[in-house]
Parts: sequence; C-alpha cells; structure tokens
Amino acid sequence: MNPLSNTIKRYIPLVGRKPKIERKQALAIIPVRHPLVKWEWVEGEVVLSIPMRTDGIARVIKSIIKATRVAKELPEYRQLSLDEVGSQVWELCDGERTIDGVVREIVHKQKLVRREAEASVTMFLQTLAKRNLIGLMSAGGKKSVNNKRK
Amino acid sequence: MTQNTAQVGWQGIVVDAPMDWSLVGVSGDNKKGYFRVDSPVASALEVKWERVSGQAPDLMAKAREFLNSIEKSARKKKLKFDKEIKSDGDPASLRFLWRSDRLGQGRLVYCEQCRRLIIAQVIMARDENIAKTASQMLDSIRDHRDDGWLDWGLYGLGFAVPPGYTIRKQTLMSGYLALNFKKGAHTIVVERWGLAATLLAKDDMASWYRKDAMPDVKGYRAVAEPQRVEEFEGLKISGRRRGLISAIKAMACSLTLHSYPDVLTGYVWHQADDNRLFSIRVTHAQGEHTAEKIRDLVLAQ
Repeated sequence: MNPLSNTIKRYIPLVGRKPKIERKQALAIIPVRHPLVKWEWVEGEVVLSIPMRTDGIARVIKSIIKATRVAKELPEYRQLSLDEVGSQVWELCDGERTIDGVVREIVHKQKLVRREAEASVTMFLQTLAKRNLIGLMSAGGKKSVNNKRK
Repeated sequence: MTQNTAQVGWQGIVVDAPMDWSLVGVSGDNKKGYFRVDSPVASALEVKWERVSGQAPDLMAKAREFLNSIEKSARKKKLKFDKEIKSDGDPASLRFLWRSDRLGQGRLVYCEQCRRLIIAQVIMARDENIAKTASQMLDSIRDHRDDGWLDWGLYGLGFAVPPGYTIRKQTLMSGYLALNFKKGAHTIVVERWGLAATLLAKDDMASWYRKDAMPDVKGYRAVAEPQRVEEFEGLKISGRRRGLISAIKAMACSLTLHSYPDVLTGYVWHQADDNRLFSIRVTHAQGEHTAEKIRDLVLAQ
C-alpha cells in the first residue's frame, strides 16, 4: 500500500475498503501502552495521567482561556480512572503480550468464559486505541496497526 | 459428559462441546432454528433443526440436498468439492463428510419423538486437526430428555425448563447472561453474573440482589433471606402475588382450567471459586417445585 493511497483513503470516506483482519491475526496483535501516558495504582484501580494536547488548536484554546480569565492555569495532564478489569488489562498491555495473552490472563484472573473475556478485552482495547492511549503492534513488532498515533 | 466438555444447546437440542468452544449465534424457535458454536481457533459447529410434519423424511435425500447447497457455493468460488454420505448403523441417523477449502463432518438425525430433523456439521480449517473432537460432538447430540423438560446450555450454564415454556427474552452479555421463559402467566428467569467479587465488593449479597435484580420482580411482594445453596452462600427469594392487576388476572385464570402463579420462589448463590453469581426465579402455583429442580440442574453442571 503506498502512502498516497493511504492518505486518500484516510481523508475521503468510502474510498477503499477497511482492511479485513482475521481473528487469528487480530489475537496476535500486541497492545503497547503510550509512553507519555503516566499511570499508577490507586486503591486497586489504575489512574491514567494523560498529557493535554500541545498542538496549535490547543494553544489557541489555552490563550483564549487565559485571556478571558476563566482559569488561571490549565493542568498539564487529565486523569482517567479505569475499573478493576480495565486496570488489569492496562497492566497487561506491556508491549510483550499479545491480545490473546491478555485475554488468557483475564480468563484466568476473572474466571470468565473465553468468549466473554475476548469480547470485553477487544472492545476495551479498541476504545483505548481510539483514544490513542495504546498502540497496536502487529505480530512482527515493527509496524504499528494504529498508525494514527503521532 | 466429560470434565472437559460443557453442554451447549438451544431449544432442547444440545451437544457436549469442549469448554473453550462458545455459542456465538442462535435463531429460530422450537420448530425451526439454528445455533452455532465456535472453537477458539477457526472451526465451528453448526446445528439446524426443523419440525417435520407427516411421515419421516428420507434422510439420504435430505443429506444430498444439504451437501448440494454447500457444493454449489464452493463451485461458485471455483473450489474443488468432494462429498461422502455414510450410513450410521441407525435408520434415523446418517453421517456425511465434505472437503473443499475447509473440511466438513456432519450428521443428520431424525427424532420420531420430537419429530425434528437435525442437521449438524463441524466445519474445520484444513490445518486444524479436530476430527476426533468433531466426531465426539456429533455423537453427543441430544434432542430431548426422558422427563420431557427442554435442555438449554450456553457458556457453561446448563439447565432445563419444564415442557410448554418458551423463551421470551435472552440477554447474552459479557459477564451477564439472562434467559426469561414464559408459559401463560408462569415465568422462569435464569441469570448468571461473572465478576462476582467485583459485584460483591461493596455490598453483601442481599443488598446487591435487592439493588440489581429485585427491581425486575413485578407483581409480587418478595423477600430475600439468607440460605445456603449446597455449600455456597446464598439467598432464598419468597414472594406472593400482589396488586390489583395480578388479582384481576388471577380471577380471570380461575375461570379457565389454568392455574395462576400465586407464588414466587427463587434461589441466588455465589460460587466464589468460579467468581460467579447465579439466580433462578420462578413464578408458580402452590405446591410446585420447579425452582428447586432448575437450581439442582444448574448446580449439577
């Protein structure tokens, strides 16, 4: 796939089909936590500290807020608290385990049926990936599937 | 059933599938329907059934018809297709095999008692060697129980309901399963929650049940009292009919030959080792023990 066609498909809807990934391939993907997202365990749950945007739009918003004196200073991080299972999944996204490995651990820890765990873990990882909190690395480890992340 | 298998089935048709195979699709009713069970890799078991009116069907003709439809779609994709139909030593059963880009191993069964024709097949990826598992699954197909109750099984939850009850609603969510059955005014609700430790982290079982499940109990004044269910911590739910609408319905029922469910009985228990909570709720007439029998069937799994 050349970069030009990738760019066209990204910005023009309905051009090009979404690549189909087989279940086996999808389970071999390795989720990796974003290095800029700090996290810690607080009372049995993971709290993520996500850096605020620093791009042009964010700078404009910041200057407006400062000028209108809505707030004195804007925080550098926003915090997101994960639930118990979400916290376990986050901790398991260590850049070495595949999604299959994460699912297996959750099945073992939470005594869930494999299908139940697979459905919830993959949905949760998709949400994290959409929010750019994790990257999804293909099995070879070189190419990021979630190439939106800058 | 061995320890590594679990009962999977819908509308009374059940098979013993490996523990890591999961029900992924259901449709239809008692007369005609379908369910599919997927392996963790790429294989799947498909089961179709249909009630046959009149005389017993010609199984050989049905098998040919079924295989022809698969062949047709394979030929469309310009794939090779081989098929074989074998006698099963039983006039009410036939086996078949097909080979294309994938492999198929199947069985046709006609049950004279239920008058249902069942076509089951395991579709396997060529690199997945599960022929023995497939045979065992196909051998284990059952379509009725001796007591006339109807078997159900999904994600390790197996039970049966008395004859005449039809499924009204099913909720198959990750970590929560609920099946609601109805027969006139009589109802059965079977529920299972995963992540029990999380659910019971802040409340005791009675408070959790009061908040989470009791709001669904309508038309009955119910109370939950602690009672062990076998070796598990549990609750017994007892209730009686209440409200004007229920009274009117009961009066209407008394004019017919049908009994009105005046009583609600339920059992809730926490299987801590499995991190699961179970609940059975049955509305029934005085003197019936349906809730107890369903509870025992769930516990026997």
